[in-house]
Amino acid sequence: MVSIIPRTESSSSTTPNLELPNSNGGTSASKTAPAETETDAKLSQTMFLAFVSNALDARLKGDYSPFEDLQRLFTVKPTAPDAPSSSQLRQILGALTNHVSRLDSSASILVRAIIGCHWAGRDDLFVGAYVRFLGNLVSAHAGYIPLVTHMLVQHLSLVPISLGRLPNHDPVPRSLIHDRAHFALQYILELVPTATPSLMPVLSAEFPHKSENKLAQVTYVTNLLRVLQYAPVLRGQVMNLLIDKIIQIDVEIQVNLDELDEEHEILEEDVPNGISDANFMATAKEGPHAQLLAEIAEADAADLDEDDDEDLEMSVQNIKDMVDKLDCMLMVMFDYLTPTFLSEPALLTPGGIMNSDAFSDISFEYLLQAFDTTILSTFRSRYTQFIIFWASQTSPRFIDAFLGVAIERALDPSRPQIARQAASAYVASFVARAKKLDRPAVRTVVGMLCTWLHTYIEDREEECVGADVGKFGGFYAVVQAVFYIFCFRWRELKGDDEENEDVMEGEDGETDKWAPGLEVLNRAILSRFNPLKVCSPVVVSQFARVANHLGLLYAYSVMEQNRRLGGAGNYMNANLNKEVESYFPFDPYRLKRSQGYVKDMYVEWQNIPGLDDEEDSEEEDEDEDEDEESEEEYDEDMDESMMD
Amino acid sequence: MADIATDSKRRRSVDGEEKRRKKHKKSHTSTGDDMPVSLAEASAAAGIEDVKATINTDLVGSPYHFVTLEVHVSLPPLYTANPTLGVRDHFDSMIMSYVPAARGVILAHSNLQFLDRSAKVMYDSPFACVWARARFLVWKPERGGKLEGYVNLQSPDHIGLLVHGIFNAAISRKKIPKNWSFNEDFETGEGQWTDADGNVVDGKIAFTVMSLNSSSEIISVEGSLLPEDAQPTQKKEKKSKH
Repeated sequence: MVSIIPRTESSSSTTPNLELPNSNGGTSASKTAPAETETDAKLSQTMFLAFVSNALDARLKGDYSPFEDLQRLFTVKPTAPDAPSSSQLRQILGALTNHVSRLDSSASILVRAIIGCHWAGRDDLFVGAYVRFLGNLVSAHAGYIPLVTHMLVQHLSLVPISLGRLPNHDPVPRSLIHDRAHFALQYILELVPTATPSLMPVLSAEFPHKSENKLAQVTYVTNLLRVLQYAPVLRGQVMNLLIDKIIQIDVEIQVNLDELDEEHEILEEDVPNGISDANFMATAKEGPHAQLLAEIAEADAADLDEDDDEDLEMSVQNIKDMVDKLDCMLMVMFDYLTPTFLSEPALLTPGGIMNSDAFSDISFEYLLQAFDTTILSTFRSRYTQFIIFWASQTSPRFIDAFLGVAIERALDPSRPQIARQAASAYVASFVARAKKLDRPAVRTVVGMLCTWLHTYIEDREEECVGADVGKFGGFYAVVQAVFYIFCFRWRELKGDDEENEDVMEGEDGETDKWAPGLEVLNRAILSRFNPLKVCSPVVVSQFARVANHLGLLYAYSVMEQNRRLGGAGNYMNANLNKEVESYFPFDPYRLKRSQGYVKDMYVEWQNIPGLDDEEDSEEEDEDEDEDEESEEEYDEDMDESMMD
Repeated sequence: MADIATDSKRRRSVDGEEKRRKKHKKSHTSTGDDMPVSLAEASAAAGIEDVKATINTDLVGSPYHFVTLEVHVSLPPLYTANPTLGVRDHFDSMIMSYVPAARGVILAHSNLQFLDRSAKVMYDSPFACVWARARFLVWKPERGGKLEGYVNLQSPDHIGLLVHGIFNAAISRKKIPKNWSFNEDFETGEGQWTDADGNVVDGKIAFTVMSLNSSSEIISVEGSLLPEDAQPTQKKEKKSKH
């Protein structure tokens, strides 16, 4: 049994006498508590008991007015002149607690008034009495639980400051209001365990809308994670909910950036030539928003139309706010997950993580499920997936589990093409960027993909009459994945399984030995499928450079042929305007606050020795470099404006 | 097919089925769209028959029963390839919820059987409808039965208990014997009941079941400590509120 101990003895100071009607028809002034002697206190308690009892009895006989008076005590605003004092209300609550079994559904008006009253801003004594009343109420009448939990969860969001600033009371900061709400909620859940599952819809409904400010989001997320401390059974669902909400903001940012770009195209004619050519070149191939933001930093405001400029500024500010919001929420998530994933000793159980009871395993299982249901099916999510990126690299068995799911989704013929392409993108980007993925693991994954490619070509080349993304999208996605992985991880793929990669580092020459399976790439390129035609041109060109330089294969002849025959995967040819999506989920992480978590586990693009350092990287940017540069520019603008 | 003779069966009257049809919600905590009108046996006019098969237990009138229910399930298209999984997921969602047809709380299900050879897709609804039968383990404390619970809250007006650590029970003051007394600590407002022999009420106590309520998906039992309630004079079929 939970005992409620008031924290401090600060009760309210001078209070006006409230004239309470009693059954004699007259009025009597009630004494204010705390009374000096025990008899006084007992006397007032008896009086309140009588008052309450009378009100309940009278209502049964049809006389509603004492009952309504009682109800009004709780509905009146604390700022009103005739509002009862906290001590009076406290004693009435005590009396009601004594009659709690009479407060069934017929008295629900009164109960609703009590649930809706201002309680969190009052003193500790009152809060103690209030929570005790709630406990007795739900213990005796479980039907009130939805109302009570709803009210308590509402107190976990960003409540107005006025809630803690009641007249004649010490101001109560928001943190104390939250503490009190948690305390009450925990108490209720201990008394009525079956209320826990029904808590979840309430938590979901009270989540702040994505347009609400940063503080509202962070407050609620923090409180939500705190609820998990005493309601651990909700962990999986809460994880799902959080990832869902975070991804909504994530996607909104991308959408807004796209919209902003569209608007800006109209204004483009007005923009002066203050943009240097070098700047333009560098950002040309990357998304237009990078260029846009660079221009905003440089362009003279005077040359743009006043209104348009303001709109533009507001939109940009809006985007920056959202980015900040996302950053903060991800920070909270990372902070929360750190103790789970980083401090628990690795427990090896047979059967892998599915059957393990270790807390980290269970948590990762939830994250993986959230990834599978939400992140994987969200088009172009930008940062949310880094939660999984980070969590999986805390242990090799998590990496296995994650890659297992992603590869399975990519190779599953019963799934739609879009889903398979997304999954392939995740495999490609993860293997390319996960620092903790060691040499054997990289080779295993690439080997697996290549074996699958080999089988696919064997089985299905006959039915292929030409490059067709619609029909063979899954195949092309995997080919592109291997291209991409090769560009980043060619060092691990070079030589024998046992070979020490340090030996290879200084060389920029060719080598004959590559990981087994990679020879299928040559075959794939030359096959009827013709992946070079339809894979993302950026990936194709970078892969061709690297593969040629390192002596894996020579792709330029096929590429030349594709260009001659019309449409090397570009948009000109109407028939072949489809190409594999170029989406790289784990592109560089540029959120300021939370990037500390990702940095140590992230593989940055490294120039190929002997290849890139000879050329001017400004002019011949490939996709990977561009991402970094344009991201940096994007980020610099963020830097300037976010000075907190 | 299964040993129907030993399982308890529940047959609904025709009006019951009409009432069920009106509720179409297939939400996680719905009171189920189970219409246990047996297809195999055509006698729809039968009243409510109750053949109890209790599992081995020491307490007389155990609240655990096996109930065979025939349930009408609407399968979403997701389960087209695997209808068994669909029906199982549906039954899973019914666990720990009060189901009026069984008049109790479903705890587990087994022995799933389909009663149709195929599931029908009707008109323009995307759902495939099929009848399925399964054996459910149901917790339904009967009026007059005995339960034991651990006291978790006491007030001058009631005693709150937890049965099996999960289900809430409350005994209101009217159902506490008059010779029991409540000693209240004036300062904190907490107190404890003391029974007629002077023992403080704490820990595990046994009580008589008066009714099982399910309001807003929270299950609670009303109990009584009065000796007269403990004698089942007439076995009334008390309808549960929901």
